[in-house]
Amino acid sequence: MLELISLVISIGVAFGTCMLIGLKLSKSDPDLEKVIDAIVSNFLDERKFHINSIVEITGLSKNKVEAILKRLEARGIVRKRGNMYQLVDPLVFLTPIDMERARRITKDDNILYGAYQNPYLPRLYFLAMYLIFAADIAFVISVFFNIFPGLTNWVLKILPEGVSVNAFLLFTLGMGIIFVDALDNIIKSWAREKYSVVVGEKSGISYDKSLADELSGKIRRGAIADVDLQFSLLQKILNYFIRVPVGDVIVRVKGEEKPVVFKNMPYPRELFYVIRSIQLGSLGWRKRYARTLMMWRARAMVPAT
Amino acid sequence: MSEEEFPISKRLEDAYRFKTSTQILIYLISLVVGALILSIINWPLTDCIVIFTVYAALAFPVIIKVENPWKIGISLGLYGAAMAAIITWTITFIESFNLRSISLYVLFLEIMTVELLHHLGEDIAYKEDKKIYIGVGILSAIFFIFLYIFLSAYDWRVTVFGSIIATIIFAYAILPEKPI
Repeated sequence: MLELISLVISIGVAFGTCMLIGLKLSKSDPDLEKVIDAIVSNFLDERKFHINSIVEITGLSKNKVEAILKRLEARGIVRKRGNMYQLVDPLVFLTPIDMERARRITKDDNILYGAYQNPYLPRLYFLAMYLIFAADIAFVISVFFNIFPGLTNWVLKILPEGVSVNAFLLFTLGMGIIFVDALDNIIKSWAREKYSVVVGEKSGISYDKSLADELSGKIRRGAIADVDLQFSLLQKILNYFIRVPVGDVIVRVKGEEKPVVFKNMPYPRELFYVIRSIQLGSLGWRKRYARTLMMWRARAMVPAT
Repeated sequence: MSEEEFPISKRLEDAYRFKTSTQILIYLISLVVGALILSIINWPLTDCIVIFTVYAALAFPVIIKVENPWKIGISLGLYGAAMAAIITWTITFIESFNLRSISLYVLFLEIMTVELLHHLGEDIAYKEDKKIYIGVGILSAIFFIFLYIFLSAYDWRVTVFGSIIATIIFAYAILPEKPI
């Protein structure tokens, strides 16, 4: 009984303490919000600005503004070029190297969207790797409950003298988690940042056709016949639970029979809107929502209350 | 179709998720189902409480996708609760004070501490700065030392190479991950 009471008390105390810490950590920083507001209100569309302009608008000290800009830079919200800063377009998720490549290839076009296709993510065989962890759990349970005495005997035989079987089983469980997490990281890093898709205001859509490609795939904005958005059932279900939503964007090109399919694009609805905007030759949509988009990207640092 | 027809919400993710009330409902249903399964299995109450707490912590960030300070607070609260449950349970589980056994318990607790924070503290844990890399270095060193102690009972090749390979896998697994 005492064991039960101490367990419940420790769970309750830890919950309360950590929740308070979490609330404190996520408390919005008014200075950070001031700086974000100042940038979004005055320097949209990649207009360059100097740190002194932000100091003037916000009334904060130069050191404070500098520290905040460094944090924004680390999160990819602003970019530093010499002494000047620039807001990064909110729908650009490219690495700095790929962003520079995209600028070079699109001849310094205004890049409205940039991200990577993720060809492996919503595939059942990718999710099947979690079966490794299931096998690990099955091993631990069967040894713990002695379901297969031969297996338990084998574990007892390989363990050094005096080592607890339970300790070994817990360790095996932990290593299963670590192994699957590392495997997940390897697959993601293999799949990630390989197939860039870049949408420029004037250059249209540029995309990588193969691993070693340099954005050789091109769809001029005048050549876009139609654009469509498609979610498979698996993508739809996964989108409820994964961190970054994905979907397929299908672009039909004038004079071409086969459409170009961009698989598992992050924020596919927004990519669809951006492509539609350049197809219509009007960036009114983007202009109207520029502040909302920018605040959304910046809000990742300042959670909404 | 004109571009006037393309409205977007303040949080772009909202268009892809369940409504907040639906998310909460699904989470509550999953908790009830979990409790029901545990009641059918009929294990000791303390074990059931530990498993239920860990289950509630694991399910929370997967189902609840709202972004606000309360979500972060509850998420970290569940992290603390799950860790308290795991630590208390592991202590009651200890049956041998052999140094190698203790090493295995420490390794298990270290893995759970980091992996659960990875899972529940995603919003605050993702920072690619020096401090994180120093932290990963320290945790990997601790992992290496305790694994070395356990494996030292075996052939030196198993001890040295086993510790190095497992530590590399551990360090790679706990490195901060980019959301996109």
